[in-house]
Amino acid sequence: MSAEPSDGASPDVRAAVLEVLQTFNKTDVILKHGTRFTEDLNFDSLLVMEFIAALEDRLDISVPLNVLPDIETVGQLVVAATEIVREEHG
Amino acid sequence: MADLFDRFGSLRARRDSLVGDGGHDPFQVEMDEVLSQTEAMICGRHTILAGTNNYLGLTFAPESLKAAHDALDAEGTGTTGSRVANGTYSGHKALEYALSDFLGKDHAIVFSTGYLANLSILSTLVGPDDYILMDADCHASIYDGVRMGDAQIIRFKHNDAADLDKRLARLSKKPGNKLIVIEGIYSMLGDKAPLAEIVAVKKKYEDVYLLSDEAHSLGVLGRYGRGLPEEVGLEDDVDFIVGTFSKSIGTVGGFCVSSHPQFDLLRLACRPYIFTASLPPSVVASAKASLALVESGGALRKRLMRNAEHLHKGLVDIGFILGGDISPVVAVVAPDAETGVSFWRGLMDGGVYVNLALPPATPQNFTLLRCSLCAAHTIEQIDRIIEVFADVADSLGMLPAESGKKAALG
Ligand SMILES: Cc1ncc(COP(=O)(O)O)c(C=O)c1O
Repeated sequence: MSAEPSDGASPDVRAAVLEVLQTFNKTDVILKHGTRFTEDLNFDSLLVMEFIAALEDRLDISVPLNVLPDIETVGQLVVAATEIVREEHG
Repeated sequence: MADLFDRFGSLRARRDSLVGDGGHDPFQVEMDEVLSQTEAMICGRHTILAGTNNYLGLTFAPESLKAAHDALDAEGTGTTGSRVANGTYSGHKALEYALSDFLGKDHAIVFSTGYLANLSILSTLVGPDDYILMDADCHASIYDGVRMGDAQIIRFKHNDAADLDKRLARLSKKPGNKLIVIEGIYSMLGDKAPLAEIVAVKKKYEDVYLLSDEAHSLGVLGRYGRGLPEEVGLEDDVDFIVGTFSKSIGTVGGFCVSSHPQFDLLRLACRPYIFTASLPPSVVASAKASLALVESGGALRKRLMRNAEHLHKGLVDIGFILGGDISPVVAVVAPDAETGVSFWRGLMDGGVYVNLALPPATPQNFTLLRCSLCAAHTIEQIDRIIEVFADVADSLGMLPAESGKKAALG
């Protein structure tokens, strides 16, 4: 990912999100900060759940279902996951 | 021009591709005539019902029919009102006393369905500073209930107490109550919760409560039919039990019981309790009569388990791979939705009705041919079910010709 906005997101979390997401990405879309789960990656609600469960395992966190409706893009997920990692492991 | 229903485009496409060929639609089944707890006429064919959740077969119990008839004649066809207005009759209160007495809790609230019981409790009991830790395989009514509320919603891996433990540990620094939500028997695959392990995890932390939805285990498990907590001797460790009258109780309605001293306050807080009409007197009366039959229904439970074992063994013997727990829910996994529909139609042509369950309502995106057994099934009926399963699997090329080898299913 290039030219990231300075959103305070952790580079480790960003790398983890991209790594897990790539295993779920069945499209040719190259993952970027602004990549949208539904429109660009064709994620449906089932796939979102599976992906989030895998990410929870990878980062050893719990992502509350409540945060999901506000997350449309990869970048937004990285920011949210960073916050959870800091809360739960900080 | 945009049409209001355009947003259902992908749903329509999926429906059309699965069942749009004019063949029998698994989601539009019409019972022309109900012959008994286990048989009906469907499309002019005499059909064995093996997917009704009518576990104890109480829908035609003489005591329950009589109680319903008497209440119908005495009190009319409906209450035309909410529980908090004109919709609480002495029968509703009597049913609540019977439930709390039966389940050994101090308080009980009756709701108009089990779905509304879950919406009520899960949306109301916990607030924005609290956490719900729910098993990922929980029923849609639990998902909908937690989404209606304000608590933080965390899912743990299905039946994985260690995963629950990890998630509770990460929350232990945070204030707020935690509510664990599980089911006694999971509705789709029929597997039981590891209640002892979950209770052990619960006890490690403070401010943690446990709710179990006993929809499919009430009347089925335990010597007196009080569900999984009775079976494993942990009734005092389950703080809230939710249940339904639409399965072993054989009618419609839902409830929640608890010994929390302030439980009754929920009557003034749960919107799906307040803003809907109460159950009709006849339904309440038959639920109460059937509840008594559940408690004394040891013989029915034995027959039900015998039937469950017979179907389970019969399907495994012909090569189906089934889940581990033998329970009155027996689910066969089909490789994909298209095969699931063909399989279901084959069963219907052979005179056997089961539920077809498709993702996302199923765990692990399975397509399931979900059977549920009834104490009233005869061994002959179950043998017929097994035979039709074998024939259909054979015609779809899903079972190996030689016996002993495992099927390509599951
Ligand atoms: C686990 C579970 N909870 C709740 C319900 C809802 O019950 P009811 O039919 O009373 O709305 C069901 C049944 O569909 C269920 O399987």
